[in-house]
Amino acid sequence: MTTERQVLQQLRALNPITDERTIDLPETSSTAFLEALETRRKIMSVTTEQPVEKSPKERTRRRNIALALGAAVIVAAIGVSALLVTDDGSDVASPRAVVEEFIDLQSSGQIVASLELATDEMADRERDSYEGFEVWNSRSEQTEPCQEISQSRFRCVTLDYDDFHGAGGLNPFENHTTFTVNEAGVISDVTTSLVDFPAISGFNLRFMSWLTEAHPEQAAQMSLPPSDNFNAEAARIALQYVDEFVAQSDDYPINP
Amino acid sequence: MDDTVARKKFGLMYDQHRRAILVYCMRRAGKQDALEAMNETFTIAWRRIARAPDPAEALPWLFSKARGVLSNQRRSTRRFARLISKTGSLAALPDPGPEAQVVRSQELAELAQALKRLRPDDQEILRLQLWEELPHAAIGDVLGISENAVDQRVSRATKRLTAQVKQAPNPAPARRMTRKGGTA
Repeated sequence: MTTERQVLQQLRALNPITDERTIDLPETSSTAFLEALETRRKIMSVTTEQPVEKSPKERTRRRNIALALGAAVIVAAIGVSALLVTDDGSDVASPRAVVEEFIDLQSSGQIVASLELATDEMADRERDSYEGFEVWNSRSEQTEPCQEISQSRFRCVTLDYDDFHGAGGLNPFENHTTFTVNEAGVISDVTTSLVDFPAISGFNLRFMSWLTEAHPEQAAQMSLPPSDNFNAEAARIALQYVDEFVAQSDDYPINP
Repeated sequence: MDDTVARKKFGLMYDQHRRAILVYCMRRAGKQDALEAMNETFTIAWRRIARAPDPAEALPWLFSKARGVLSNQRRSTRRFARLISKTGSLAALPDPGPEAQVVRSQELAELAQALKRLRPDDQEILRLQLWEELPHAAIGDVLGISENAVDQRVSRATKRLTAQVKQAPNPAPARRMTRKGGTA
């Protein structure tokens, strides 16, 4: 008969590193680490400045600027001929154009449709979660032109919105994404720095904790991103209950 | 916060906790991903240094950041720039080797499979308790929930894991587990 105590003892034995002292640390000092960060900031425009709390007014101003910039980028994308002609005469969009069209589609809420610009592998991998994000009415608005890291990689800054986090007063949240593209389309869109991650993560955790208590059957059927199990059904359940959660919460919505 | 004060605070945090953060990440990811996750965790810590807890009490807060970083990593097929990881003497970090991850005991392998079948949050709360050996209050700080909620969720996760183990077909007799650096 397996008891809970035995299971916990065995689980403790599954620990892949039982003695932390056996792990040699990199010899990078904190000073060297910060210098490396500064180098990366210069190269990749990643801020290492200490955070400054943004007032609602500043956030509104930033949002307006972002919307204006986003619109300008869309106009530019339309106005500039982004199509190249290959030797065999076929039209092939430039990598930058592919990425910006990808973001443009997401700006207008066409989250699933944006996968038409992705490779089959990425489309298969991300379709469920993208369907979930579309249920949430997710939008990504570009705040500045994407930075070219290499011919096939672009780093883009967006302000993201969705109805689920919007219920908690968390919209918009700034997202830094690295897109990798090949001739078949977008290979991956990797969040490299979600600036507002603690707020988003905290909201998600509190919502799931509350849902588990208040509606355990529904909680058992769903996960929130970045879980691989996030999908349209999970998104619908989350939307169904998020207002109830916020109504019972002392902490949300923030910035009402 | 004054830059000198911020750098001193960050330095203390980095020196005190980077081993624990690296080990936390290595328990959940491969070596290279763990290194990147550690670096990204401290990058976030630097950005948030003004609001970070005192260095001596910052470990749960850093775990919560590392957890988020690893979650983002798992979504990706590409990893963010390895610039920082290529600096210094990181190459000297010993790889624990595949044998460190291999569980040779069938019983424990089944337990590992049962653990994977739990919800990610249930897996994490049990790992935080048994691998990081955090008290429930600190687990609450990592997960952003109350200590009472941790008590309840640990209890539920334990029950679910035990139920999963009992459902496993053909329970095998206990065997010795051999892991490099572990306690066989």
